[in-house]
Amino acid sequence: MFKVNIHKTFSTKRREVVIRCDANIQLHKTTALYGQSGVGKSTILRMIAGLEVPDGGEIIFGNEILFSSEKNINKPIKDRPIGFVFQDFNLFPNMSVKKNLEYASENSVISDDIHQLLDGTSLLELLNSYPNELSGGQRQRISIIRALCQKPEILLLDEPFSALDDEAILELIKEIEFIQSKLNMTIIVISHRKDVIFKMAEQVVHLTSDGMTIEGKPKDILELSF
Amino acid sequence: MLSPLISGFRNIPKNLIESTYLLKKSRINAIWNVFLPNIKTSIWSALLLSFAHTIGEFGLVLMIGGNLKETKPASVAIYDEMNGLNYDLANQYAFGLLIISFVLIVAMNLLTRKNQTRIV
Repeated sequence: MFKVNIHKTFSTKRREVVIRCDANIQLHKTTALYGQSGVGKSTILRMIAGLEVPDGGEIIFGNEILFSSEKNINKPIKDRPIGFVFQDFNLFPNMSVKKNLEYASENSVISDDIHQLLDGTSLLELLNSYPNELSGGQRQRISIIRALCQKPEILLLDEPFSALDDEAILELIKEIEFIQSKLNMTIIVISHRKDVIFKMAEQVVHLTSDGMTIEGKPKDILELSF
Repeated sequence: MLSPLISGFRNIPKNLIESTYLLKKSRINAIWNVFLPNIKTSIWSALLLSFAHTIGEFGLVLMIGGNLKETKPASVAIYDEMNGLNYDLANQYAFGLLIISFVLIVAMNLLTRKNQTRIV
């Protein structure tokens, strides 16, 4: 089980925002993080990745403690088995797609697994293109493949669909499903779109605006929040 | 020199910086392979600005370098020719400086425009 029980408080001049998440995420499944804007979905992903430090709680992946305020453990980003894809500005604009993948790979050599994924996702012909020559969907697909070059056990996707049209979203979902079937990873994805969550997630973690966390199957959770 | 460099570093999207952390790259590696290549335009702007400023420098060159006969900056040459009442030669030097400054400013504007449309 992947246990995420963390909280963080942001204080502004006008108000105090408390971000809280207490979820048991299923391993080797795709889980959607769902909730209104401002409940802290992205911040939670960032805390899991190690980009931000929670005020308290714990993040335990299998037997590995990634963060524990009680035991005073906070693993640095480089020691966390995590791949992360942002909403945008993922790929390095000065490098071609191939260079981006090589830069992310160990010893700058793209592994056979990644070559197989590229074959399966028909992105092979884009290897010599630069990020500014790709469509938004292609950029996101390459970003996901690049995140996999590090062989992570957890893949975090922070609103990867937000800038894409319906066709590109469907293509990206297919690709994520393909990756999931090949690598059997634990994927956590943020999306506002219920149809997308229904399509790809096996578990939903719903963060409510009053700091509650509700977990369940997409059908149960999303119908509850209609 | 510093101001274009600082603004170049500040304009690097936060996601790009964090991507290097997430790919487990060291600071030095990230600076060399990602940050510097992505602010190449700012580095060129900084160099051009410094060059443009230096080529028109007068007081400092005269104070530190003295007034050499063999080689001298255009600004010092203009000063000398003006003192010698050789207005034609002074005008030619001034025209040369004007052309160089114009070319540098056009180059800098082109670079800045290119930079504004680059990061995707």
